[in-house]
This record gives sequence, C-alpha cells and structure tokens, in this order.
Amino acid sequence: MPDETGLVEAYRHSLFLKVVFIISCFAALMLVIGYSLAVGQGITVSESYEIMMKHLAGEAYPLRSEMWWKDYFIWNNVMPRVAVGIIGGCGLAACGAVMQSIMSNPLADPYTTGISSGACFGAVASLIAGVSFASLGSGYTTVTNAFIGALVPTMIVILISRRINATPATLILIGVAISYFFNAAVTLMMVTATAEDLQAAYLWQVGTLTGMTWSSVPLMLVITAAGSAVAMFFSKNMNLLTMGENSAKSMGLDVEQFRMLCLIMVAVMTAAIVSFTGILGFVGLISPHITRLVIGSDNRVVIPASMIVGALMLVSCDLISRLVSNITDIPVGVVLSLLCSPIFLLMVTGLKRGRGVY
Amino acid sequence: MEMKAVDLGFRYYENTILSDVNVDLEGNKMVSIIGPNGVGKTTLIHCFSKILKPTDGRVYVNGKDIEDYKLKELAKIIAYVPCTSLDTFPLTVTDTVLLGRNPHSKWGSLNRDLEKVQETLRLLGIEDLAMRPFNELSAGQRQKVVLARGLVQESQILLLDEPTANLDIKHQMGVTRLLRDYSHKQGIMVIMISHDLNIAAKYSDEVIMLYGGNIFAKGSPMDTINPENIEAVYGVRSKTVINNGRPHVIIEDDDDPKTNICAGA
Repeated sequence: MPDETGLVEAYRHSLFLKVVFIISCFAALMLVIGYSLAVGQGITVSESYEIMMKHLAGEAYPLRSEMWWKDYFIWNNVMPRVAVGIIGGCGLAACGAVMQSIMSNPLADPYTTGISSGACFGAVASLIAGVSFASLGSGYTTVTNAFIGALVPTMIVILISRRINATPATLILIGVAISYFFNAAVTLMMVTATAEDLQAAYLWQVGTLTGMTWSSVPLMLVITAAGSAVAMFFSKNMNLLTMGENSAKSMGLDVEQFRMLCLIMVAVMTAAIVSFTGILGFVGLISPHITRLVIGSDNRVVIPASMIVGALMLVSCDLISRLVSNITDIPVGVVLSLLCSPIFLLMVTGLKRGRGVY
Repeated sequence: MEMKAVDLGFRYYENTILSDVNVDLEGNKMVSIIGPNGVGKTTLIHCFSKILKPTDGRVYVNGKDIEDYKLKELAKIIAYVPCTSLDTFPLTVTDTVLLGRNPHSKWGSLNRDLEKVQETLRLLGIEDLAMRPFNELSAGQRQKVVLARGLVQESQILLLDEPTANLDIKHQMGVTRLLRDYSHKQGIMVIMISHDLNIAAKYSDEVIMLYGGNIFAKGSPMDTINPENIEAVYGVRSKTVINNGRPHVIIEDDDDPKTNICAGA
C-alpha cells in the first residue's frame, strides 16, 4: 500500500532537502576558506588547499625558500583568523538559535542577557583604566577581563530569576536593564580616556578578526565544540518549547531548569568567543533566521545548519574586508552588517512574498 | 487509571482560585468540566498535569502523589492539550504532532512514530495538512493538530482545555464523539473543559460543575445539567428537554417574546 508510507516518504524527502542545504553551505564554506588562504599570496585556490594539506601532513620546506614563506604566511597569518572566524561564526550562530528558541523570541541573540555589555565593561576596564579582574599573565588582561565580564550579566539574570516567575519577557527585560547599566559604565570610562585608548576601546566593541594568532584558538575551540554538541543534544527540547511552556512541561520537559542550563551554556560559549574577537554583532541574530527561511524551524537541523551559515558569513565577510583594503583594516563587524542586512532583506522579500517571516 | 484530588486548593498570592476541591475519577470514561469564566477550570487541569503546583492538598495519579513523578514519567501517563498554542517558530504539522511522541522516543523509532502520526491525522481528517507549516493553518485546523499531538502521546489520561472552541458544529460533534469513542475503546480517561453545555451533556459520562473555586455539582449529565444548577452557576435562565436520555439546554432571556412560535409571522 503506497498510501501507508506516504507520510514517511514525504518526511524523509523534506529531511533530505535540509541535509542538501547543509552540505551546500558546507561546500561554499570550504571554497571561501580556500580563497581566503590564497588571497594576497598570488596562488590559486587549489594551491592553497595543497599547502594546507601538506602542512597538516607535516611537510617541511627549506628555510626561507619560496614555499617556506607561502606556508609560513598561510599558516601563521591567515589561518588563525580563518579558524577564529569559523569557530566564532559557528558558536555565535548556535547561541543565537538557542537563545531565540528558549526566549520564544525572534529578536533574541547571544547577547540578550547583557553578555556583550559585560564583556565590553571588562575589556574597556583593562584597555582604558588598566584594571585586571584576574591575574593570569599580563598579555591576556583584556581577554580574561572580557571573559569574566561576559559571565557577570548572565549570573545576575539567573540569580534574579530564581526569586521571581521568570517568563522570557522578564528575562529579556532584566538583560536590557543590565546592558544599560554596564554600557553607561563603559561610556563613563570612555569619556575620560585618551584618544588612543578610545580608539582601541571602540574597535574592540565592533569586533574584528585582525591580529588573531593560534594562541586564541584552543580555548575557543574546546568551549565552542562542547557547547555546540550540548546545543544539538538539546535541540529536541527546544522543539518542545515551540508549543509553549505548558505544553512542553506536559510533554516531560522541566522548562525553567532547561532554560537556565541553556542560559549558562550560551554565556560560556559567547564569552569564550567575544573575549578574543570583541563584540561581533548580527551574525548570531541573523544566521538562524536565514537558515529558518530556507529549511523551516526544526531545531534539530536549524542548529547545525545555522552554525555553518554563521561560519560562512563571518569568514566571507572577513575575506571581503581583506579584499577591499589591506592597509586600513575595516572591522569584520562592519562588513557583516553592511552586507548581510540587504541579503537578509532580499531573502525575506523573495522567499516570503505575501507572508510573514514567522 | 485513576485521578484523585484531595482538598486541592490553589492561590495566586492573595487570590484564591480553587479551594477544597475533591475529585475521584476512575476508569475509561469521558469527563467534562464546566463552569463560568474565571472559575478555575484551567487551573484545575493544570494542577492535574503538574504544570502548576497546588498550594493546598494533593493530587494522586494511579495512587501515587503527582509530586513523586518525574515530568517525563508523568508525560507517559498524562497528556495535556492547551486551548491556545504559540507559533513563534512554527514547525510543520507532522513535526508538531511528532513532538507528542517525545516521552516515548528512542533511537530508530522515527518510522513507527511517523506511522502513528499519519494514523492520527487521518483519524481527525487532516492528513492533507501533514507537511504544511503550523502558523499557516486556521484556528480550527490548529486545534485539531494540537489535539493530534495529545493523542499520539498515548497517555492513560488525556486533559483537554476547550478542544472544540474553534470548531464548527459538525466538527465539534465529530471531535467530541471521537474523544468519547476513543476513551471507551482505547480504555483511557478523557477530561475536557467545555463551554458548550449541550455538547458536554450529549457525550460525557460524567460532568464536574465548578463554581466559585469549588465543585458545585458532579455526576451524570442528567444529575448536573438542569435549570436550577445553570441558574445558580451561570445566572442564566433556561429549560431543559430530555433527548435520548440526556438533557438539552434551551436558554431563555428576559426580553424573549412570550410566545414560542418562531417560524413565520
């Protein structure tokens, strides 16, 4: 009876299309990575893959030969920022998707509970006032300060929410209040700063991948990988939340506890990323939306797919910022917003003609 | 299966919603909870499903205190279907209904679960909606989808908050009849909140009439749905006619004409 299997087949087919989308985005990401490595070296994309592969295979070149320089440049100059771009894009997109789900709010992003303002406060305190929250080696004051600062707002949100009936709207409002507080503190520090400090503090707030080294990668990578795995494991529970809190509870999910777990996860992941890159906005907000526009709202695919879309967006925009100007660095955050807003608007009008986004 | 409430009370701060509610329901039957707006019907079934924690008294499910159940464990025994649903991030109808399988799901159960979903969608006559996004459905269609989600949960007790509020008269009858037959044949207890006295009277085995946070009357439709109770609880004058052994309510208003001849003039 063909009719009996009709739904199973239709469902499998829709799942297949979603997988195709993920694979295409992954292929595009690989292409952009190859191009990123090749730019500025006068080599082709395939050569850049070759150099990468050979490096990973442990091939050594004669010191200061032409190939040695190419390998050195790619491996030490470009690859770290590409790697940070991939990890950051993946992590922020996953956090955005999680935050939107647990808040049932399309406007939520990784910074909704005030993480960005806390991180800014930490970073600016180190850049301008020279204050260090923890003594973990002098070279990393800004990073450790930002990391610790990023965790504070979520801790406050969680502490407050234990005492009240913490609906998503309440949590968001608490986050907004905390943001305003820390932003004001940041402004206060900035008005007293010298022009040089001011520029450093300002650039940190826009977010950039310039000057990333391999030392930035391990912590970010470990936390993002672990967090993303947890997010994917949680994705089914996020689907339960699409039906509303009461329904989710009646289907076996302890909603409050789940929400707190997710908030902690998002805070740690986002802190690990922004403490190295600065506040990369937009990618966490928009890549889950772009993903849902194409493949629907099933979190089991939305989370991995937005991660790849996020990485693709961030690495592409970093590439574009390098292509446009090699001397004066345009922060990747600026390119992100300038390019991805129109793309998103085009997608909305193209794919959702006559309908709402959700 | 057994659902029992002992001296159940619920307060929001100073507002007492429910007090001293005692319910003892057993066996596969269809129970309707009726009563005016704001009387605590939804609060009562939220206490039954552990969505709310009662401020007084206890709820027992199959002889065990509901507080001693884990939510996931309870989800296999009790399913709850709300009267409204969110649609911020809409899933397809199939994915929405599939959520109801969550308490039972394990690796590799997708095909079996999908067959259950299809079966249930067919039962409710909405198979053609299977791959549509939830937010593009009408209110009545949504209600059926959420009901399907409750049915595939395959619980022993099914709690429904106004499951037919957005349906036309034919579908109201269809869905309520389906629920009654389902409870008798599958051996489950269906507890539903209803605002339609005639639908409740026609299909229920038992009626619980709430008033002022208390149980005003309970028993068979014949024992509970009568002009005296309706006047006391709703403040509405009516008369009932007996049709097939069940009461049928005809409402009356003060400015009704004295004659009962309606057709023609």
